[in-house]
This record gives sequence, structure tokens and C-alpha cells, in this order.
Amino acid sequence: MIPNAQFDAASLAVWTTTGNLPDPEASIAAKAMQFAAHGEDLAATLREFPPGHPHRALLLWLISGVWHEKRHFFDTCLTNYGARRVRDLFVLSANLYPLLAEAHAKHEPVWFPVEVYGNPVLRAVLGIREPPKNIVEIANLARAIKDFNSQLDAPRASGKWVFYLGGEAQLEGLGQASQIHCVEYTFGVEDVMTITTEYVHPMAQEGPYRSIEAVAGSLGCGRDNGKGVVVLNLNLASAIFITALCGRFFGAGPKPPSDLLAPFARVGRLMEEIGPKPNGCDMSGDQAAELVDKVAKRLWGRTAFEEIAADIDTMEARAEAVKDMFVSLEGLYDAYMDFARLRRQMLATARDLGPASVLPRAFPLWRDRLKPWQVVATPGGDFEAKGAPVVFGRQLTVPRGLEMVVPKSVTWGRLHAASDSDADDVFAPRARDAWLQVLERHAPGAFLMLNGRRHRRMVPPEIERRITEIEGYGIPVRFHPRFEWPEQRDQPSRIGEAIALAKFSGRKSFTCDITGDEIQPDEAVTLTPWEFRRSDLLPKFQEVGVVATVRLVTDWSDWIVRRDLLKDSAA
Amino acid sequence: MTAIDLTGSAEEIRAILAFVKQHPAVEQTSEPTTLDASRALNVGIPNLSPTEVLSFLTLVFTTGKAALDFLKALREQLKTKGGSLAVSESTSGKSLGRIEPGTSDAALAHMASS
Repeated sequence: MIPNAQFDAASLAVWTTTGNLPDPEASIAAKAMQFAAHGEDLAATLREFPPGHPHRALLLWLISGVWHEKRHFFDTCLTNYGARRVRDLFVLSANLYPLLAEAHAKHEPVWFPVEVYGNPVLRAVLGIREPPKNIVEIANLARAIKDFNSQLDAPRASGKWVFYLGGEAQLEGLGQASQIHCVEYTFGVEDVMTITTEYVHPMAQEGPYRSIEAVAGSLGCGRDNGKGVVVLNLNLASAIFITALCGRFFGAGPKPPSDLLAPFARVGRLMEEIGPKPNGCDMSGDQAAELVDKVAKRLWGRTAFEEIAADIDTMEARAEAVKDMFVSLEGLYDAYMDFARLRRQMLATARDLGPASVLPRAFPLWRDRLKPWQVVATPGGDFEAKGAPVVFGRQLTVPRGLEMVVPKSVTWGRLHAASDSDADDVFAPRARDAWLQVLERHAPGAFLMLNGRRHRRMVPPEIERRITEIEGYGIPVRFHPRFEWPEQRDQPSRIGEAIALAKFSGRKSFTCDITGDEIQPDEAVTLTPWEFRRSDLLPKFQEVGVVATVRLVTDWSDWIVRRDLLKDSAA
Repeated sequence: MTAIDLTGSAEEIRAILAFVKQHPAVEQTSEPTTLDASRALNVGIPNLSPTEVLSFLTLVFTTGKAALDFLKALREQLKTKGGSLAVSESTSGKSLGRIEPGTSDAALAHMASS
């Protein structure tokens, strides 16, 4: 199931879609999510959905989902772990160009992910000739980035439990906590109770979104409210997460102790030092931030803000070095410098407001001043000529005689950027042309370098267009077979997702996209666009003729089909 | 030459790597590769469990018989240590099934001959 909101660290953009909802809820939600993204007043929209209305909880979840993604924008810019993710993707996208130049010069295909060039066994199996040294270096760099990030994000097993407490999970924990605090701030406690019950509690307790709760609980920050409900104060856990995400990625030496930089190790070390607090449930944000700062200073010599300042200083000091690598690539250097500027702007404001200002409880203060770009995705295809600027779309070649039934163009993504991004109190990308290049070309290039086509993006044409561009230079594109397509899931996963989608979207049944039959959720499967295109359902669907052809070009949404139609039930 | 991929959780693959490297039937072994390295940060989706991050190893054998010998030894290893691994063709990515303590000789032969 494609999430309704996601944050893309490569371009700093928040993507939203309501394509998995039925109408009219989809269009109402789309409008509300846009208001949330722009920091506009939601009161008029919500007037039609008073407390108790059957669609209110879903609408609030979707609205607050945008705030959740804004929190990712905030943490990605502010924290050192977040900034490292961005820098890695910039480095990968910059290195695509020497790779393409080499392939072009040698009249050879280009292989993704790039790490295959550095692996003699994979080269032998795939029949790739030994590459020159610079390509092997790029491959090894990509592999090192991937391995390092995997280590930073890895869940940890303890007996039969797997805990998600790596860097990515900490970002999700902060996103989840900020989302809930924003709902409380804007709509009140009753709505928090409703969406917590409906949407938060069904998520795995040990999973990335809720592991912050486990940390808070183990620090003594929970209290039974007498009604069988444990109320958690997340201030201390949040302060620990933020500090854990501010490890020393520059200047830590060749073999730094893991707790100097790795988020998981830093959480563990901080928890060990701080220990359970008898008054944890009453701890204010200021008290939590002060306590964690004190411990961090003692352990590592710097508070979170000091680590961030040092990270930005180094990033800027190295700008000249990266300039050589980035400057010839349209937009990349300017976007890099704009990112450093954004980080410095956020840090200066956070310092003015104090360390507690970056905790989720204070996030409502930031929320409407954070204006990352919003890409409104329409995976099923939008055929309207008017609207915000198109960033992902294409013109269609219409067969003669079908001009009245086949659209001239299709859009999968429109860009909504703040008009006040230059204002002092707004945190937004400013180098518009540069970020546009990143969004449309460099970010998809980085994804190819890292993991080939094996990504579940909101709109697959985002990556397909980059592949077509590369092929347009006369360079055939090849993939390691495990990375040629997004993950092919097994049948139980597809059924599970259909059931989850039905519950999430309030549907009692689906209409099969192939037969038109009404089907119960447990009789259905969801298929990703690539799963459908690679399944044995495709030839039958194509028998429909030109309508099917047009739909395959324009519609990149998930498919919902009767589960018994699939022969390859464990593809 | 026969080449197969073994896929499992990052931890399972790390655990099996030492065994693979010391087995004489294995001609070449790649370093483990992470399959799902780039996930977007997104809003939580209720009722869906977090998905496991998978890794794989590519193993090269000079003959199908060597591959079969190895797979039989791996099955014995799994009987002791527990767990299971997905097996696929390295050149096409095509699934060949799973190897676990109870996998039959015939199924192993099929995996080794492809």
C-alpha cells in the first residue's frame, strides 16, 4: 500500500497522494492535506466533519500525516544523521555522470545498482567487463554508503523480538510523536484519543513508529491513568532521540567508537547513563533537554546543538571540494549550498528558542513555518490541463481517430512550492531552479545508483523517465536481476495489504480491477503497478485493446484484483 | 558454471557467510548485498507489520554436482542452527524455492541443476 504521505530525503520534498481512497473522500482529503502542507487554516474544511463524523478520524490522520512528513523535513535538515542521508544521495547522483560517460565512451550498457561494478563475482555472473579504476571506486563508494546506512538503520533482535531503534526508526518515532502533539494542539485531546486508537495502536509496538514509546516506558515516563491506559510523557525519549541523531559524522577519526556517531548506540548509551527516572512522567521539555545535554556533553564533549553547528561548519568548509564534483551538474552545487543555508537558519532559530524547542511537544511552533516542497502525486494519472506546475508527466501520442477518447497528456506529479520561501521566518528551499533539477533528475539518478529500480515510489515514472533519458543518450540500461524491479511480494503479503487498505479507507468491499466483480477484502490482493505488469494477468488485460494500452501507459496506481485470478500465487 | 543466490535477513546471511566461505564446493562467494537500502520516510500505515530488510549472497560453483553437495551441507547446517533461506538463480533472479531443514533431495537437485 502506497503511504498517503512520504518524505524524500534526496530532494527534501514531501509527497502526498490520496489515490488509494474512494471519492469523494479522496478529493476532500487532498484539499485538506494541501492546506496542512501550506500551513493554512483547516477550520472551514473540517466544519463539515464535526467530532463523531465517520470520516473525521481518517481526515485528521491524513492531515496530520503531512505534519509528520514536515517533521522529517525538519529532522533531515537539522540533525547530523538526517543531513548525512541527503549528502549521500547528492554524492551518488553526482557520480552517475562519470559512470554514464564511461559507458558511452566504451559503447557498453550501464549497470544498476552501481555496486555491481565493484564486485568481481557479480561481474563474472552478469558478464560485465572489468571496469576502470574510477568506476570501481564509485562502486565501492556506493556500497560503503549502503552498508554504512544499513548498519545505522538496522533493527536489533532480542530473543524473538526485533526492535527498530536505528536512525530511520528514530526519525519515525519523532515524526509520530510530533504528529500526535500537533493533533492535540490543533484539534484537542478527544481527537488524539480517537486517532491513537484507530491508527497508532494497530501499528507494531516494537516497530519504527512506536519504539519511542518503549524507550519512554523503560525510562519511567509512563503512568497508568487508572482507566487501564498508560499515559506516556515522550519528552525525555524525544530529547534522547534528537541527541542520538546528532552524532559526529565529520572528524571522528578512522575508527570512532560507535556511540560517537551511530544513533542506536547513542540511544543505548544515553539510556544507560540517564537510567529510569521516578519523575519521568512529569518531566518538562526544558528539564529533559537540559538533562540530556548535560549527559551528552559529559560523554562526547558536545551537546546536540554543538554537534549540529560543527557538522554545518564542516559541510560549508568542504563546499569548495564538493564544488569540483557538483558544479558541472546543473543545480547540484546550488542545492547543496541551499541545504547548508537551510540547516544554519533552522539551527539559529532553535538556539534562540532553546533546546526544548526541537522536541515534538513544541513542534506546533515550527509546523506552519516549515514549507518543504509538496509534490501532489496522482499515480492513476491526472488528465487536467490546468493546475500547479507539472514535475512528472508526459505527452501522449494519440492514435488517429481516438482524439476524443485518449487524453493528450498525463500528469503524475504537480509541484506546490511556497510563495514566501524567502521570508526570514519561513524554512523552505530557496534555490528553486536547482532543487527542480534535483527533484526531476538527480534524485531519480541517485535511486538508480543505490538500488536500481527496486524502490516502491509513489509514481514509478519518476524513475522510468530517468531511465528513458539515459537510453536517449544511446546508453542501454541494465540491472542486476535482483534490482530490476521493485520487490515482488508473496501472496499472503498482498492479501494482508488488501485487508489493511479496506480497513484504512473504510471500504467493506472492493471492485476487482480486472473482472469488475465486487469482492470482499479477504478475497482480494493488492498488486503494485510493476507486480501487475509482470503478472500473468497482463496478457489477458491487454486483450481489451487500445484502452488497455492507454491505461498501462497512464495508470501507475496499485491494482486490486480477485486473489484467485493469480496463478503465480507466490511470485 | 552454476551460480545461485541465497537470500535471508541481514543477520541470517551474516551467520551463514562463514559456513559458505569455508565450504570446499563453493568456488566464489560475493560479499553480502543489501536488497532494500532505500526506503522513503513515510507516515505510518496501520495494520501492516514492519518489513524485514533482506540481504543476499551470490555463490559460484564449477559444476552442478558441487552446488548440490553444498546445498546438502547447508541443509544439515540449517538442521543444527535453524532457519531457512530463499534460493534463486543469480543470472535471472528466478526463484528456485526455499532451503530449510526438511527440504527434499529432489528439491535440492532442482535448485542445483538450474
